[in-house]
Amino acid sequence: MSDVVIELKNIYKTFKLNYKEKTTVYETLVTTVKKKSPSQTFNALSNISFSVKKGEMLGIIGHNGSGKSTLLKVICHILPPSQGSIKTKGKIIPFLQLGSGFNGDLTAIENIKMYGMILGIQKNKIAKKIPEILEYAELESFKDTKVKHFSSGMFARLAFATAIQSEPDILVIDETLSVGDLAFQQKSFNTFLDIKKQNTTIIYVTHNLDDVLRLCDRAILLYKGFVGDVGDPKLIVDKYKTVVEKSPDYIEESLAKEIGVYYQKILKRPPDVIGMLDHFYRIKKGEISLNDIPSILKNSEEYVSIHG
Amino acid sequence: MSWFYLKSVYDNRSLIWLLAVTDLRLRYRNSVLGFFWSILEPLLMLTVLYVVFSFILRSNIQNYPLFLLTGLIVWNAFSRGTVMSSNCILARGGIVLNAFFPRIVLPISAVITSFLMMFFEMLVYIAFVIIFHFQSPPVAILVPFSLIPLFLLTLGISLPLSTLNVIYRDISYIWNVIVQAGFFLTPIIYTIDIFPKNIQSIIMLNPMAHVINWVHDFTLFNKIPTFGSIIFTFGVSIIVFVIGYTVFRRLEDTMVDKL
Repeated sequence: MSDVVIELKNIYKTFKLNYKEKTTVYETLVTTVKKKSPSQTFNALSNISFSVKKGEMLGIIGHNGSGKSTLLKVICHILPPSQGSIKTKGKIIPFLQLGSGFNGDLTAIENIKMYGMILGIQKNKIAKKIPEILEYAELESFKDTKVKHFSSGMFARLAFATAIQSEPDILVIDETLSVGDLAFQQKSFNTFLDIKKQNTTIIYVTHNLDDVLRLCDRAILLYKGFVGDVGDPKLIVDKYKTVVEKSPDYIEESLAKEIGVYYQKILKRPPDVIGMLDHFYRIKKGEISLNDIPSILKNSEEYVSIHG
Repeated sequence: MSWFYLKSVYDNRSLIWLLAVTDLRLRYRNSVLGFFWSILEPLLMLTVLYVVFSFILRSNIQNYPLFLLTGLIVWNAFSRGTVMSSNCILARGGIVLNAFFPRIVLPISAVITSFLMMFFEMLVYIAFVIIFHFQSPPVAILVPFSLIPLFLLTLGISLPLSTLNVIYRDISYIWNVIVQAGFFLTPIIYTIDIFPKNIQSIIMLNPMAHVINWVHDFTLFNKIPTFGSIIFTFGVSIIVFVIGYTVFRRLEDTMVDKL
């Protein structure tokens, strides 16, 4: 399996919930003395395992808050996983919130240099590429303007133009292809296709399902921090559509989590989205209660086939 | 220490330098006095301290203005470096959360910015020497030697401060108070011999006191520090640096969750 460039094994990412978090020494001392209850935790990612081969393009879809961005940050080594292991090969360039590294008081050229070097581009190379970057971003006449005077579209164009110079082995994109106006979007999309042709591995998070169908070799559906399913984009997109249709806003995190725990315990795997939604619905309709889930799972074909 | 990590720091040396120089430029770009502020600031501070201590409290140290100035310049490099570092990661949360680079480049570049400012302030010292026709003793060329432990101490304290301030947001305020107290506990406005022997030995546990004494000795008193002082200062600086680096590496990952 030498061509596997990203491998995640049983990744968990747990956050302490913010409102109880102690952010000052004073609070820490006070709460230590008073012995308050420990803070609640939130699993943003639960038991995520998958691998990506060189040159493959993997789409990640899911609801807001399903853990997509957290997963990307874990892949890019920005956030450390709470549990599990991650192996990556080659230079990873994150296209997350483009331009977040820009300093408003610096000019366009100064920001290109700074941002480029933060992305790991060699100093000499970035200096040579400056005219090209400005031309691509269509910002030649603003090269000495402080970027705090830029419009958000100009800002994003400059960031995109700089970031594409980084020659990544793995490109991690979080909804950043829809940058600037229509013309620029077309241009950035074409550039992206060029990068894809160069056998670059791409992880692509998007809400644009057509893009997933059109471009991705495989897709992952994330659901409440679990891998809902992995596979053929067509299949996954259909599943996601079902989830969207069915999923009401009132599905509670805690319920999802508890069902997830039962799945882990009994079927030794994370819940699949469809199965999980089914449980939700029946619980909400009052047909079953949470306590019935273990017996339902134990009567499932899957359990019987494992345990006979 | 992992060599792989140290190599990545070395590979990012031009980024460190760019961050340091850019920060320095930005400081002066938006101010009326620009670059001259860096010279004016220690001069104003010097004037205040000089008036208070030579006229009101009647210090009788020779060349008192120069004594004050050298102490101030060196202390400023330390206090400014650590105070700036304490906020450097928090202030750049956006980039830390959206790009991957060794986070250690941020505190290192903050310390370098502080040292670059120190070099500008040294120009003031040189101007003073010329204006007052002061004969610098030959050992003054040894001043750079005292900058080695100064750098190690500043960085060694900056590294954990930069990460701890992300986790506990009041660390930088607490450190500010400690630095202010440190100013008066270090022989900058006085010489150590105003204290009885037993108190002197307590004050000299502070490695910054040694560094500042060295600079005074080199630039004014034509003396060379004792062997014991050199061993102590270098020893403590290296220990502080190693502990600081270790704490930084430990907290580097968990810190990101709290940004």
